[in-house]
Amino acid sequence: MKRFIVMTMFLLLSLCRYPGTAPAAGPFGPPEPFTEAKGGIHTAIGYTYKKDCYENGVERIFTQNIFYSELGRGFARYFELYGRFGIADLEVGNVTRISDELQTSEDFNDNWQFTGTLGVKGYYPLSEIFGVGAFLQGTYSFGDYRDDVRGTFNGVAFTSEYYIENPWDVNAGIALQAHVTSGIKVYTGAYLYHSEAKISLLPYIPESTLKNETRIGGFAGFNIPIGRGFQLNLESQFAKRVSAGMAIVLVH
Amino acid sequence: MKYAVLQAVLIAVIISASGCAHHNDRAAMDPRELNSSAESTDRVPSSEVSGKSSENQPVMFASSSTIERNLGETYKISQAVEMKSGFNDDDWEEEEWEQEEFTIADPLEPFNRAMFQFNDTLYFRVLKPVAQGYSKVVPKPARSGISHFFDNLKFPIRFVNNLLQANFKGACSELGRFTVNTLWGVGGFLDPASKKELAIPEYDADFGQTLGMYGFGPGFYIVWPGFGPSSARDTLEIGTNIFLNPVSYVDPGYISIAARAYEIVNDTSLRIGDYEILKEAAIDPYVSLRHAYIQYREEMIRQRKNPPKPGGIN
Repeated sequence: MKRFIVMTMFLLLSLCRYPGTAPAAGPFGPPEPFTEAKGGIHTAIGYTYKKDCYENGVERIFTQNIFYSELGRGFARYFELYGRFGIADLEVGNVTRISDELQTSEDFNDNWQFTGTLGVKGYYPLSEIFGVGAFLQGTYSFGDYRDDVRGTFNGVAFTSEYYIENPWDVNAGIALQAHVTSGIKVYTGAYLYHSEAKISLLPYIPESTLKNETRIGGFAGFNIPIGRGFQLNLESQFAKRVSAGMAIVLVH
Repeated sequence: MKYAVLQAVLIAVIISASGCAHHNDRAAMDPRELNSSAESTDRVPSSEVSGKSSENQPVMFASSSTIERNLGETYKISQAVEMKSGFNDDDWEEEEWEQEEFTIADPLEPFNRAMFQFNDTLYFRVLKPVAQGYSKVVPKPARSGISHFFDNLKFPIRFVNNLLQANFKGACSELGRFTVNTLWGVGGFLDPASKKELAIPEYDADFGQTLGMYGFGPGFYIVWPGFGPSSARDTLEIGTNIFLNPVSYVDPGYISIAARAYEIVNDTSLRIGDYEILKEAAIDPYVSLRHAYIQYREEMIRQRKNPPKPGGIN
């Protein structure tokens, strides 16, 4: 068993350093549900700084600040369903050069749009200290992001509206968790993901789909009880870009 | 403007039943009083609720005085006080308390009785059937959550009036409750501020209570169509409640009206049967309501002025 745990930890930590991957989603949280019992409820507020690399001929880096509120409910022992609702902005920092003919001079920026996440996770305790878990989580942005950008097309100046429609992603992963002292949980894991967004810059770029550049990432985090039923969750997702998030969780 | 007028009219019509139920609720706070008030002037021992209240003072203020106050909260108060103080019927009979009598004039009694009848009819013919149908469709946990949500939205009413009463502890407590319930209560649908680990006390407050704190008497008794029992002083509370309730500012106005009507139906669905019990118990429900209303309001103000000392008698 110890060999299995050590190998799993090594594998997961190796994945975290896997070059060329990109993070995609908000925090996954510890694999062990916040409420172990069936019918238990937890709520949380959180913030995520998210970076993701999209590719469609040219690599584009999406940066988002996400603020959300979370509600989770245990539907069986060690199984939990959770949902998040929040707002997210969007910045695309690499639209300055689209092609040899078409160039823009500004970054894409748009303000807050609503975003929602649904997820499910399950946990299996291996011992009093260690346990493994798996999750599936999807996020969808309800609004269309848009920004006026100026640029040149074959040397002729133009101003047009750049659309980024309904970014979404799906993530699935596994994680290993360890209970350390004072109720603190440490966890690390790996995940697969797929993300998409539609873009257009009419009439120069017809509607097309951007997809994530890579498909795998790693994550690690802490969950720390801070008293009166509250817990602090800190998590980072490692890859070509780094994302990070924190949440304050209240178990009801 | 037209929406404001429309809203006022609709609220007046719809809440009447709610008003009936609420004030009957107050009467039900202490059924002993119901049969003792067949006079046009009410006299009530003020210390009957708070006389032996102990250190948990916030509980005593937990449910307040707006005319839309629900009966469940009123029960909660009296039960909580009794639990904290060990106060029960035997104590009531055996102990001798310093008696303070509350009175209110009722020069508009013919009008008030007509309005009482109007509200009563509206409750049985409109509000109760709608609330019963609604409660069959929506499960109780959801209705409780919705009730919490609307109550959480009324935070500005409680916060501002606590400040006006110079009750800064109460204002801070209400701010804390609002923050916790909004952020970790899914916008107020849950009430984590009341859970055991946090236990942030409620400090309910309204404008009528604030005026009472500064020495304004209740004036005369009046029953408003839709709003139920009130007094000249507490009537001012209706306007301030609309002004401080964020729901009033929802645009377009008809959504604000619909939300208010929905809140009334939802709250009523949680209290069906309370009013009926009161009517059955009372010899004259009108007098019982008036009596309960004035004793409840004045007791609230008295307690806010002179918070009960831990383990002692005011």
